[in-house]
Parts: sequence; C-alpha cells; structure tokens
Amino acid sequence: MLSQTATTMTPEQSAWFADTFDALVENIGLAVLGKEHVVRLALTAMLAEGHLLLEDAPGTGKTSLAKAIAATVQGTHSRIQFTPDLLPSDVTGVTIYDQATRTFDFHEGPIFASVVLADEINRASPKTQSALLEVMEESRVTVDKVSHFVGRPFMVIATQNPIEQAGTYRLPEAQLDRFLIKTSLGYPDRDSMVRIFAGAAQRDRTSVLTARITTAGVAEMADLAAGVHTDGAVLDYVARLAEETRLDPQTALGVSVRGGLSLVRAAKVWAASQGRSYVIPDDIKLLAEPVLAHRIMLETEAEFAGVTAQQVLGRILAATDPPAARIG
Amino acid sequence: MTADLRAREPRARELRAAGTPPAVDVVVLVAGLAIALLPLLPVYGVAAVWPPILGGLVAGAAVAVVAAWRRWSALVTAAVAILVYLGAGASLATPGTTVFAVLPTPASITSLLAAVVTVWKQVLTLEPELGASGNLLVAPYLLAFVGVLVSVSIALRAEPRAAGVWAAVVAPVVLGLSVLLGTKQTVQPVAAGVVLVVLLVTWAAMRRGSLVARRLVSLTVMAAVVAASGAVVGPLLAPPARMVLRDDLVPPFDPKDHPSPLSGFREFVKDWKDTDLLTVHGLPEGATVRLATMDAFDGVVWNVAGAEAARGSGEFRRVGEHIATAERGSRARVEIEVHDLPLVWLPTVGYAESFAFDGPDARALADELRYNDATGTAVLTSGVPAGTRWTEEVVVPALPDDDEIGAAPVGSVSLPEPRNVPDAVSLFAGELAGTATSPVLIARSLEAGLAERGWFSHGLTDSGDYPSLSGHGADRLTTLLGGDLMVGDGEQYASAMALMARGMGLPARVVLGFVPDEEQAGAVQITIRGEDVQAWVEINFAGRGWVSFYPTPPDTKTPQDDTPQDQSQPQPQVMQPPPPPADPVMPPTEDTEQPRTEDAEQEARDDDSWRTFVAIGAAATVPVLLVLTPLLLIIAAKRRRRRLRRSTGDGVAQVVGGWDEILDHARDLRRAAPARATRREIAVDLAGAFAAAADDTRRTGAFGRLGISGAVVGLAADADAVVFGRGAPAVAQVDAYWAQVDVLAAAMRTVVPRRHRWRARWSTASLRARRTPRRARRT
Repeated sequence: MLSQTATTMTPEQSAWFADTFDALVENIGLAVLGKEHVVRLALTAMLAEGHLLLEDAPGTGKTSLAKAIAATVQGTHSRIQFTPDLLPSDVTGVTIYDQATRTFDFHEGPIFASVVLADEINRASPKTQSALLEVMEESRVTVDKVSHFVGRPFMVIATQNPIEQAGTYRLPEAQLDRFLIKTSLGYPDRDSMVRIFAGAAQRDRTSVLTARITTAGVAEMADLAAGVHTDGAVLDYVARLAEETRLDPQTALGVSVRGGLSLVRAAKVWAASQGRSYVIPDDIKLLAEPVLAHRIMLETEAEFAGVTAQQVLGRILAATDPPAARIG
Repeated sequence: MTADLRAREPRARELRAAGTPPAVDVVVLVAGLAIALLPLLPVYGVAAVWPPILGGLVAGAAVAVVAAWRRWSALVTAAVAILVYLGAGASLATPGTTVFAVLPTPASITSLLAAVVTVWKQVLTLEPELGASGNLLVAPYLLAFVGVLVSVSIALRAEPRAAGVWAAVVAPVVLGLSVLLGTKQTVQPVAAGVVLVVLLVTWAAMRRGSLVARRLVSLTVMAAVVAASGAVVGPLLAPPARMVLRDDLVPPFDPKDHPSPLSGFREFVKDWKDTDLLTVHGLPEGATVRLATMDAFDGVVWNVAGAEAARGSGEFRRVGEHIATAERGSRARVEIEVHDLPLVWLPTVGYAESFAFDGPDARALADELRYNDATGTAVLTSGVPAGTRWTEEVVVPALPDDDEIGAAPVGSVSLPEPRNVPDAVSLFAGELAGTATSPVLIARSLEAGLAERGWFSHGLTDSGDYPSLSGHGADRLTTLLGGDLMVGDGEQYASAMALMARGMGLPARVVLGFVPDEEQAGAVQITIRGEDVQAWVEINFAGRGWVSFYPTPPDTKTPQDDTPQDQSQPQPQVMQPPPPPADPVMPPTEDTEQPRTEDAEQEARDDDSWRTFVAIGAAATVPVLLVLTPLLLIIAAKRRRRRLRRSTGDGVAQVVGGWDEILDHARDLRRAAPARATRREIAVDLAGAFAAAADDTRRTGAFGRLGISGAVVGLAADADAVVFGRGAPAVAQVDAYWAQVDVLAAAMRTVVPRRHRWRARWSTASLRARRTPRRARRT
C-alpha cells in the first residue's frame, strides 16, 4: 500500500468539497453559458494548483471564462495581453531606483496576482513566453537575485489561438508541459447562443459575478483534494498509460513523469468534486485527454498523415485495460 | 482486348469473393445430387442409369458455371440449357434414336421433348428394372441436369452471397423425387443420408461463414449424436416400408388380366365346398348373388370381355356415392359380408345403386371399387379381403315369365363374337331348338333339352362322383355334346347353352354366381358356401332385359343311378372285409389347451413389446444423456464459479467477484459488456442493452425498466467504492452486495426473450471468455 502524505478525506469533507465545487461551477456558469464540463476542468486545474491553457478560435469565450474564474475567487487578478513586442519584464516586473529613498525597489509585474489571465500567449515572442516558465512552475519571480513569491493560490489561465494563425509563435514543449490542463471551449450550442445574444446589451457578463470563495478557501480545497485516496491499481493504470504513450510508434515524445503526476493530481480533484474520497479509473480516463494530450509530440509522418495527439491517446485508452480489482 | 480484360476482371473477383471457392460449391453440389439420385439405381439398373446421371450432372454444371461466368440472363441461360439438354441428351438418354450413338436425329429431339411430360408415368407404371429402352432414361437425366443447373446457379449467383445456401435445398428435393420414383429397394440409405446431410450442412456453414474452429467440436459431437440416434432409433420407431409412388399408382383395371372366373368353378365345389364364403342379409326372394358375368368366348374359356370392349362386360369404372341405373324393378337393401373369397370379384345382387363399405378400410376399399353397370358386377382391384362388409342398395329386375316375353324379339346389345366354337354346338342346338319359333321358345328348348338329356356330376371322383372333366373349352364341350354320356355341371351346361343361343342368334352370356337353394330362399340371412356356386345363362329380350335360364340338370340326376356300366361290373367274391377299425380316439376338437397357447402367444407378444419398449427407451435415453451431459457440466461449472467468487479472498475480492458474476450473466444472455471498459462504462452499456431488451419483450422484471439501469449502475459504483476506496468492506456490506447481485441477475434474465434465457443457461460464452483477457493481460 502506498503511503499517503496528505490527511485522509472524510465523507463529510468530500461532500462539502463537492457542494462548494458545484457552487463555483454554477457561479461561473452565469458568465459562460452551456460549458459546464470545461468550467469543471478549469476549476479542477485551479484546485490542483495547476495552470490552464485554453486553445480556441477567437470569439469563443476563452477570455470570458478566465475572467469569470478570476471574478469568482476573492483575490487579486490581472490580465496580460501578450503581443510580439511584450518584454519579459513587462510580465514579471522591474527593479526601479527610487530617488527619494535611494533604494532599488521592485515593482511587481502583472504576474503577481492570484489568477493571471495570459491572453493570446502565443502572440508573444518565445523570450517573453519563457519568462512565464519559472513563475508557473515555482510560483516565484527572481529579479536581480531576489526571489519574490507570487502567493497562493496562483493560477495562470492562458489562452491561445490555433497555432496555424498568422503572427503566432508556437509554445515550446517545455512550456506546454507546465500547463496542467489544455482544453478548448468550442462554440456554444444554439440554446446558449440565443441566451448570449439576448444579453447583448451587457458588454461584459463577468462583471455581474461576485466572488464566491476566498483565496484561503481555495487553498483549503486544494489541501483537501490532495488527501483523496488513490489506489495502487489506479496509479498503475496511469503508469501504464504513460508508458503506452512513450512506446506508441506514432509518438516522438510521450507523457513525462510530470504529465503522469499532473494526471493523478487532477484526478484527485475531479474525484473530490464528484463527492468521492477515492479516485476511480473513470476519472483517469476522463481527464487523460485534457491533461495528457498536449504533452505528446507526434512523429512527423503521423503528423503529416493528419493524426492528432487526441486520436493517439484515444487509441491507447481503448487498448489499455482499466483496473477492475486491487493489485496483489 | 485490354478493355475486355478489364471488364471481365471484376466478375472473376466477385466469383472468388465467396465464403467458399466456386470450385468447392460446384463439386459439393454435384456430389450431393449424385447421392440424391442413388434411389434410381434399382429402377433402371446401374449399368443403364449411370451415363445419363453422370452426363446430366456434368452438362448441367457446365451450363450453370458458364452462365454465371458470362453473366447470362435467365432467358439466355434457359435457352442454352434447353439446347444442351437436347444435344447431350440424345446419346445419354435416348441412345436408340441417335446416329452412331452420338448424333441426335429429329426422332431423338421429339422423344426428348415429349419425355419431359410422359416419362414420369412410364417410369412409375413399368416394372423395374427398366433398362435403357425408349426414352425412359430421360427421367434421371433430366433430374440430374436441372437439379445441378438450378443449385449451382443459385450458389454462384445468389445476392447476397450468403443466400447461396439455398442451393443446398435442391439436392434433398431431388432426393425426395427420386425416392418417390424409386422402388422399395434402397441403396445404402443410412450412409447416403448421413453423407448427404453432413456434406450439405458443412458446405452451408462454410458458405455462411459460421463454420469456425471453436464451434467445430461441438458441431461434430452434436452431428454424430443426431446421426447415430437417427440411424439407430429411426428404424425402431418407423416401419421399414418406404413410400414410393409406384405403390400408390393403380393401373386401370383390365379384367383380361384376371383368369376366367368360370374356370374356377371346380375350385368352388371342390376346395371350398363347405367353406362359408359369404353371408347375405336381406336377399330378396328369387334374386341371385352374382360374381361375374362373361360374354366373350375364345375357344378355351368364357371370360369377361377386355377393357377395349367399350360397351360390354369389360368396362369397369370407378363409381361415386350413387350409381345411376337404367334397370327397373324392386328396390332392396342388401348387406353382404365376405368371409373368404380370394378373388377380385365382388359379389353383387341385381343392379347396384350404391355401395357403402364398413370398417376402418372403408375409404381404401371404396377407392378400389370398380363397377360395370352393363352386367351389374363389381371388382375390388386388389382383391376382396376377408371380412369385407358392405351395404348395397340394389334394383332387382322383375323376372318376366314366358308369356310376358311372348314373341318379343331379342334385344340389341353388342357382344363380342364367340370364336372357335366347336361344330358340335350348332349341330346340337339345331337338334334341340327344333321347331321353336320365338326367341324365348328357342331359349327354353335349349334349356330344357340340356337339362333333360344331360347328367349331373361335379366330377369329384374322390367323393364318389361320376368322372367329369372340368373346363369348358371347345374340346370339353365337344365331349359333352358329342360323347357317349352327357355329363357335367353348371360350368359346362351354361357354357354350352350360351354358345348354342349365340349360334341361334340370341344375345346370351354366362353368369357365375350363387343361387340360394330351397331352404335358403326367403330367409333373412343366408350363408353361402362353395357348393352353392352356380353358372347360368342370361339372354336379352327387347324391352324385357336379361332373362335367366338354368340349363344344368338337377344335381340329383347323377349317372350312378342308372348307368349300365356300374351295374354290369359284378363285385368279385371276396371275403368279407374286416370291419373298419374303430375311429381312433381323438382329442376333443375343442382343445382345452388352446386358450393357454394363445396366452403364451400373447405373453410372447407382450414380452416382445416390452423388449421393443425397452430398446426404444434405451435408444432414446442414451443420446439424450449424451446431449444432456455437457449441459449439466456447464451448469455445474457455473455453480462452482459462483461459489468460489462468493467465498474466495477478502471482502474486496468477493465484491469484485460479484460484479464479475453480473458480467458473466450478461455475456451468457448475449449482451456482453464492452472490453477494456471501466465498471461505470460497462454499467451504462448494460443498462442500455437491458432497457432495450425490456422494451422489446415488454417485461420489466423485479426493478421495472429504469430499475435495471439504476441497479447495474449502483452495483458498479459500489464495487468501485470498495475496490478503489480505502480499507476493506464489512462482511455485511459484502453480503448486501451479493444479495443485490442475485436480484439484478434474476431481473436481467426476466427482461430478455425466453429463448435467450434458455440459451444463457447452457451458454459456455462466459466460461470461455473469462480466461481470455487474463491470458492477454499476462502477455
């Protein structure tokens, strides 16, 4: 039996977790109509203390979702509009000499917020993109040998347009790996669309949202989720899936250890959001695509053949036996 | 050229793309038809029949294959088939009409075409073996040719390909036809039947693609059991008689095929003298019982005219419920029962208006009845069985006396001209008739003359009769009329008088029948013995019908009384012979032992029936057990599996076992869970499948329609919680889980159709499937 570092989750706690989670989903749902699943994924990323990458065509509500999440959490949030001429210091902040005090003061950049919306991240140059790397992984900014902690919770919601569009820089693999979940919103169904058009007078739907949870609450939920039980058989399943992505002939680069770890963390939150104190293989299966797909690099031939990482992952999922019993 | 090739290529590919290669189809179907035609071998003889069968098979297959390859339409195929049939058929089926045994002539063409219609009746009506004469061989040739043409065409051209299995039906149909055309003689029926069935079933299975290795063993076992029990039990249960049309086909009755009834006269008085032949109830006074009426004399016998004599005594026809008769007279209802009369001739009285047979065979007897309304006689074509009873509505014509007849001229009836009449007849007739003027007086003169001048004897010298030869041929009549002593009985006198009357221009015929004696006359019920047989003459007078004349001298007027020969032979002086020995003491004829032997026979019969019963029982039980044993083993294996799951391992393993039990249930019910799915995915799938089943069968089981979905999803979630949650479940929790498993399993069985439920009980699907994924996981 594997040792669990976090404290065990009780049924009452899982019930509270699920209720709170549902309340958050409902709140965000007021601004982002008809996208409950994506909202749940986004919140899962937040409570797993990971970052979210939304990739979609312009005008599908990526920014709305990011703003809605930010508005729901009572805390600071900022927005960085990435452009080709954006410099790393525009993100992290700069040290400025204060003549009055005769000291160098660090002026925090927009990254210092609980929820950072990095809009159109792939429009910035790779140099600026990589400035995000350290922050996202280590939650701190080091300028002039001084580290500045960005606080907790800290979540980057990045949006990007499909990479084929003009004026975009492809996100490096290392950076992609740092996003816990990559998903897309897609166009809303007709019903939701009609409701959105009905509220056309309202310029920003997110402005009506009120904060529903404090930053401390988010941290508490994240701590609770870490205590969700994950059986050895499920972990074995994740390991097998990761292995398969590496062995698959169509992949050049499979899922990293970090990828597997991210999947387990996300699955714990997802399980807790369902009111369960244990992870089941269904959680893994469901989260595999949003968590793993963007971490897989395909062979060139496969790419030319029009195969997508999602297809490869779907094939692997269909071919791998989910666990039905405990191991040993 | 290339375009042609390209156009032909897809055809060839389609031909190949079957479950079986076309070559296999053709070979199997040709072999099957060859087996199906085996019953025709005894009909023709092997040497005669194999060329047309083999030739027909090859020609038919060739036409079918070429037609399929060239994609001929049905019309073109039929035209080519007819040409090939005529071309090849000449030498194969009608060898006698060909030039150099190969080239067809116009005669062979005509013969081949006509035979398509006519050959069947000929094959059935002629006695086997038929050989190769005429166009009789067209039957096997045509069956082989058309059978192969049809079945191979179906096999090669059916759309979709799987529909080609219908080709397998043709051979059994041909088999049925050839059995019906065949004789009771069989050719290896068990072997041929088994081979035919195995061949066609295997081929059909291959064709459908359902012949897979894992079914092969069970199929072979089942086929072996069925074939063996069919071969063993079949002959025990069914009578060995084989139904062939030959038996049921009744050739038209021709009285010429039967010996003259009159020449059997001596048999009546000699062999059946004291035998009770028949009992007649309600015979009107003065009426006679007639057996046969003969109006044709050929110099040897008086006989019934042949069937070709359209308006004479030979025209025997089927009759319906009612017979229209032109005769007038008194009506009566006569009941007749035949005790023993082994002839085809059915005793009748007067002219019948209807026959009503009694007993279980009534319908069969009525089918065999043929009646001649000119003579009022009837036959049963296959003989009159002992114990035949029937009721006859009759018209007995009034007998006119001579005054009534008066000077009436003879009636105008057409009778066959007698042939080879001895000269003595006309001489004697002229002598007897003398000066008689009217026809009736001539007849009376003849009757009286014969009765007065002749002596009576049955010629049974053993019982002391004066020697008198039997028969009534020209020679015998010459002896009768020209001999020293006119001696004979009804056979000779009636024959003689009838011939004399015919010589005098009177339409006369001879009747064989029974005349009640004085004691019997007028009795309600009379029993007729062989000694009561009589032959007399009937002559037709215009407006008066047939009038009977009895020329036979009274049976008391025997030559012994006053023949000088007897008296002139003195008895030699001999010692008084010793008194004849006393009758030996005989056991009483009413043997008291008799009943006991009957009992013994009865017992033996009972014993036999018991043995048969036991044999049939054993023969039926053994295969049943053979079939049942695997089923019982399957049920036992499932029980054991369930027990192990319920009790082995910790609580987690037992709960997992409970879920597996549900999966196996679903699999046996032909609603297997998807592979490589999580429990919840499986639950959703099963919920959908069983909800659909419940919709189809309109049965909801213990839960109701939604209940099954809820229950299966709930069980999946419970199992997940136990397996992936922390710790181990409590015993009560496991028990509750298994209780739910059992309820759900029962509900799953309820909602599926009944036949799935039965199949599930004995399905090995779950027993086989369990092992596969484990093996796969290990590798």
